[in-house]
Amino acid sequence: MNKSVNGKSFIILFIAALWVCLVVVVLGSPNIPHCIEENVAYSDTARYYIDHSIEDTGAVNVVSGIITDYRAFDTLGEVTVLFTGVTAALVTIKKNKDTEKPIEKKSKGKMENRILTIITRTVVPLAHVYGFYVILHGHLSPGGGFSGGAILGASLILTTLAFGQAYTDKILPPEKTKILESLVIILIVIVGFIGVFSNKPFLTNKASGFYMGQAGDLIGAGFIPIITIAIGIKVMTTVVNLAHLMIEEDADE
Amino acid sequence: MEIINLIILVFIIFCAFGVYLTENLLNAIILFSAYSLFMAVLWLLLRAPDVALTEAAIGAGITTFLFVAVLGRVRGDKNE
Repeated sequence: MNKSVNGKSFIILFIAALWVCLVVVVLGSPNIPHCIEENVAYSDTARYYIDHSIEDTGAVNVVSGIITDYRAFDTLGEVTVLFTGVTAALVTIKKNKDTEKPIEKKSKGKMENRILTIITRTVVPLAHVYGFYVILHGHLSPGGGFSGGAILGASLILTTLAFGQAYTDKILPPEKTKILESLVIILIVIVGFIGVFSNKPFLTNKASGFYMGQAGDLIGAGFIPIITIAIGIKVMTTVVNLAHLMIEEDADE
Repeated sequence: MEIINLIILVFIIFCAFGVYLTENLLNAIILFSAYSLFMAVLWLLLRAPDVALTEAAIGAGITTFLFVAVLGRVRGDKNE
């Protein structure tokens, strides 16, 4: 370790200064709304979202309404970024399929640990149910596609660690996962084109005639549940694929 | 409530310093996981449950796992 002492102390000072700034901001947090109110344009947008979000989007969860309705095109871009990232990781890291030994795959990624196995048996069903709950209630309660998908993906990684990759592959077959991953983006684009065909902009929710229902209903809020489920599946498959990629390489050596 | 925020913030600062100062990479990863967990609690206290959920799942769970997997791949734990 030939770190120069000067560089190290400089970095420590820098980090300390950053944290001091953050502490000042948090201590001064009662003043922040006042500052925002002085900025007229920002305040107008935020006020508009808070006042009109429920009637415009039908989603009780305002954050979800903004992400998947007002800014649905941004979300499509984010999903594309995820897709591109996984593709790049697969291309760079994955070795040739022919060199892979089928015998190794059975116990791939498995940790021989009794505590882990027993805790996984207890936790994973609960985590699955909670993940599905977060995704399906994305327009009603906090959370949404990204959080729910991350919870589902984390629970599937846990099963890989406890029972091996072959077990997780039985729940989520890799061949089907790849198709599902691509279909999900196409689903969002198709939902967007419904707006175009009814003579409205791309990804229009209420005006292009989706079923809105009552605010607070599980089925309703136009295409928000559809997009939330699509994002959830996308994030889950991405996380699981990345994790399996790392484990696969680890077991090869 | 303000005091709890401050205490958690101090924990976070200690974790962040620890990540930088520890020589052992595995310890650094575990400290980083603790950092994410405290951060999730802080998000919850700052009334951002969406962000807290994502932070707890991705920051404390998946990132830690990926870091440990990568550490195992590059064998960073042997050449300290």
